[in-house]
Amino acid sequence: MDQQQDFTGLILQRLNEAEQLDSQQLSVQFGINHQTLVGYLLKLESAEYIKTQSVVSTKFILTEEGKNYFETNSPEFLVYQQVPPEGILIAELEKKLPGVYKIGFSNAMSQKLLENKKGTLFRLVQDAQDAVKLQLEQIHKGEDVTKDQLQNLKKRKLVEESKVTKFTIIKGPKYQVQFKKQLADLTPELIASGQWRNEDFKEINLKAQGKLISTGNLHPLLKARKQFIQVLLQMGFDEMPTNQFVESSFWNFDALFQPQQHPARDAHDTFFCNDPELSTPGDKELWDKVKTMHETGGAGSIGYNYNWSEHEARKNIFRTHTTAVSTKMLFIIAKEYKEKGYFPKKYFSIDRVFRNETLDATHLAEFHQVEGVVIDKNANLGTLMGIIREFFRKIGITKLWFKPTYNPYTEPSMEVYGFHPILKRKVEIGNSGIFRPEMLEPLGIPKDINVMAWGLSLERPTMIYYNVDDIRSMIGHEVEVKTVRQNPFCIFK
Amino acid sequence: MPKISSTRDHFFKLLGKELNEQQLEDLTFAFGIEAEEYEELENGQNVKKISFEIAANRPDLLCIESLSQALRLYIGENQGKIQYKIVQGTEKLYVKAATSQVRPYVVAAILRNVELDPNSYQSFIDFQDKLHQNYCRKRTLVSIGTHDLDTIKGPFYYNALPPQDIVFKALKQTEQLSSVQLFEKLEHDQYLKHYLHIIKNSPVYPVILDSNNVVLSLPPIINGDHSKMSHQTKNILIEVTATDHHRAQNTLLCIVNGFAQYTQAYEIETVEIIYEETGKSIITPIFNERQVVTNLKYINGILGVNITVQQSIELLKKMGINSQAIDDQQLSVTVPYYRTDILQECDIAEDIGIAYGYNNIEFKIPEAATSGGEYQLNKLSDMVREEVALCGFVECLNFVLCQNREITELLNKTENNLKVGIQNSKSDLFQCARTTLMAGILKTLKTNQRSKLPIQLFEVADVVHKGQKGNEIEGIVGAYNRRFLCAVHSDNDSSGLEIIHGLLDQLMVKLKVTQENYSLQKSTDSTFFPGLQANIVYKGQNIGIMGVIHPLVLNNIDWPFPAAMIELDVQTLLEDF
Repeated sequence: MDQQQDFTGLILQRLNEAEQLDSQQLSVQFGINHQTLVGYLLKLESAEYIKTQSVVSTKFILTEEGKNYFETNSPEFLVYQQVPPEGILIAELEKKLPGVYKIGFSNAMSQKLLENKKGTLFRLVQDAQDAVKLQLEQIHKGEDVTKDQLQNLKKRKLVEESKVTKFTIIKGPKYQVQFKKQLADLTPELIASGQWRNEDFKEINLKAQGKLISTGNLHPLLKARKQFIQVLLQMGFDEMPTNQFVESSFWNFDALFQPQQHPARDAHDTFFCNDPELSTPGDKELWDKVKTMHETGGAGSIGYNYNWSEHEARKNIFRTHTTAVSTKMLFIIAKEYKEKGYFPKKYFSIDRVFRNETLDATHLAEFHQVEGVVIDKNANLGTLMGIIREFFRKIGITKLWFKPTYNPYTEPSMEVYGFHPILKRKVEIGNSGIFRPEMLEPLGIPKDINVMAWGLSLERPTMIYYNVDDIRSMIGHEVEVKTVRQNPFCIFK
Repeated sequence: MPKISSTRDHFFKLLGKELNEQQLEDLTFAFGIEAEEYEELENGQNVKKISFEIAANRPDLLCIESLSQALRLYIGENQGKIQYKIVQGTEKLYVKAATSQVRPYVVAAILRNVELDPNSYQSFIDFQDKLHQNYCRKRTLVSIGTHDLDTIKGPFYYNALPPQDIVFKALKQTEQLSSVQLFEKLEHDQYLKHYLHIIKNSPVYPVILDSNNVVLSLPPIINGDHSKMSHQTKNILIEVTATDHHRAQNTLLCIVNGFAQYTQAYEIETVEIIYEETGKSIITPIFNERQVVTNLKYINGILGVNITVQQSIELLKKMGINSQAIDDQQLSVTVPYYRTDILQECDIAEDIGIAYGYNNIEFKIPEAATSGGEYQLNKLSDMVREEVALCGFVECLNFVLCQNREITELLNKTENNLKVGIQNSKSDLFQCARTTLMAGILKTLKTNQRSKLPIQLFEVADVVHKGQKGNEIEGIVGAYNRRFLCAVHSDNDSSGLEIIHGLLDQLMVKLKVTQENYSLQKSTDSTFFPGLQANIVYKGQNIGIMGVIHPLVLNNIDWPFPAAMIELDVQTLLEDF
């Protein structure tokens, strides 16, 4: 540190004597590395003691090979040295200088340092000097050599051009001969004593990065969930209690009029539990009504015409959709209707659902389903599309298309397509429909009340929003803390 | 969703109109199927093809003939559809009582004077395959056999015999084999081996024979070689065996609907099925066309449109459905026999909607006013999440499903009696539900080995525990969710147990839990280091644990630094808040 102070002072002193200085020369004069000098210059410049202007120039520097010759000797000189006045056989010389012999010999010959008399070499010049080494030394010192010499060294790849930046130094607005130490920050003592008035302070560094502070952070997907929840609350939806991952097949499938042979109920698609394997049936009357609906129909339907199995309905699974909960809510609200009479209702949930899939970049075995349900006497396909459009508009997707599709428990059913801003084409973003009377009647929903619903995954729009293409970088234990820390705000516009 | 495919040329010939890519996409989008054009190398030539994805409820559309006819009507390319004549046939098929032990139902039909070509013959084979895979549930519920009627002689018999007694030359076999030998051979057949299990363990195998005891087929596995078809076959016997009578009939109807158009006179001939044991006789196929009465108020109400009876009739015609006006409010709809998906009035409304075009319906926001709100548990646990994040912890979001060892061995434990296991996972990453959030948090720690220290992670989420909760109305599943909080701290020179403890105290302050209501008690949990751990006791109930993580657990996740962790059943606290 003492030394540093010395140079700072020295630079200021020199500047007092001269109008301007050259950093390159200065570093040679001080006998320090140019880079070190630049450190002092930056310090003085940030304190506005000096001003610098960079000057870019080209200069020749030694290559690795050049440095090597400079530190030892050139190959031709090495060869020359090995030739005694009485001469030497070429073969013998070759043995003495393996490696450098070949190039050294040919250079020494072309420079006429040696002559070859029938296989024996003799010195042509007595007391020759290592000319190449001398030239390299000059270049290293920044001295000039002749054009021809330079050309030759370049050709031999011993020197190369390099850009150097040096600085012209002049006085700055706060120039003084004496450098006064600048303080980095205020201290309680300075504040109390008022000494701050007499001190010089280092100015803020506008180019530096701030310190990496320790932070707490919320997860990106759950930030998106918060936005979705707000949208749904604004639209008058009431959140359903969906904290039940393990469900009976009854609530997940049968009560939704999903036939027991339906492929979705296959072991290939659904996680079945082995312990507890079966659930205990609930409301007997409901189970009977559902059985009848599947087997022989009702509510104007012919049913599916098969033997419904109670055992199949009791099988426990990890729910494949949150509609299992919506169905329970309908069963509960139907009871309320009996007591209080009809009132419209909107429900939503955002929670985990499970599919028997293996994990890859675009598939998860569990994801978050966003579901909206509207119970309304006047609900119809037009209002379903209207409310879906409103929902998507609020999460920033304005262009929608509806495509007929098949769901076992809704009719009519529609897939929702939105415009993908990155892929620049329609992509499926959700599913929707009006619940079938065969589902609603056993639950006790009066015939004149329609129930419509739509669902989508939370992951898909969030991936589009954050432009993520591997879902595993977003959910699960492979997520890096850095990702969560740096994840921007989530707000849908 | 099942897929079918056809050459581009064949499809557009059947459609009667050539469409460009955009037109095809618009048409299929509006109709509710998906089309994809592609090229395939066939016999050294690039052939332009189209594949279609068909909804699972429309088995009748699983052949290009039926699909193109449906689309032809939809675009109004020709008015009306082919009406088949039903001819009362004389062939009989006797059902022996023994079949009830294995595959009790059979239905049959005959198509006479058929003109097939290699294209349409291939389509006929493909159709059966698609039906087998989908509507017939991989032949378990229903299977189809088709035969060259001119090679066999009625009456026919559907019987069930011991496997060794059924000896015949099956399709693609070189010699006669008993079905025992045949099964041994087919175990190595890449395609058929998947179906053997359906009857393998039955003492008797189903078999269809003609009056000369020629084996027509061994349902649901394979047909006999004797009656095999080709594109030159003139008269076809279709037999469909099943464990589900209703599905068998529907399957037969789908087939005759798709292929009777290749008969000279558009005729379908019936077969009489006689159940010998009961003497009951049924004539199949049963062309039972239901009449469904629907009204405008319902249709306009459910679709959100305003159309007349006449418009409804026209729209239904586009969907291949005939209907008649009863008055200016009602119409009577004839449900085509092959439309197995039409169960109720709503299915008819949907067809009208598709014909009208969903995207032509006016979008309206429902007028009904409702007030929304959050589920209290979620709202409170979101507050807990935010508070823990404010305390400087980074949130994790882990999977509910995990491996068995992650809730035992990884945590230095031998057993876990709260575990809910999975029977049939495709991936060995998912064997059970997490009973604790610790495994996920520790695995996340492992991922973040190069992260800056100290590191602080947390998760507030549901775990699943085995146990009797629920009510008699909804039913008792035997497993339930609990909302847990888990947080971990680790630094290179200290575990930071006091920081974890500080987090607990801070949360308790926010949750208005006073000092007299919670305390720490010494614990002996093998996940944590002996003596440096404590249970968290709230109103006399153990609701969590905190402590320095045991070095053996840290070794399991290759974590070199000391760490402290807390896990808490926050649901208990939130329910009391």
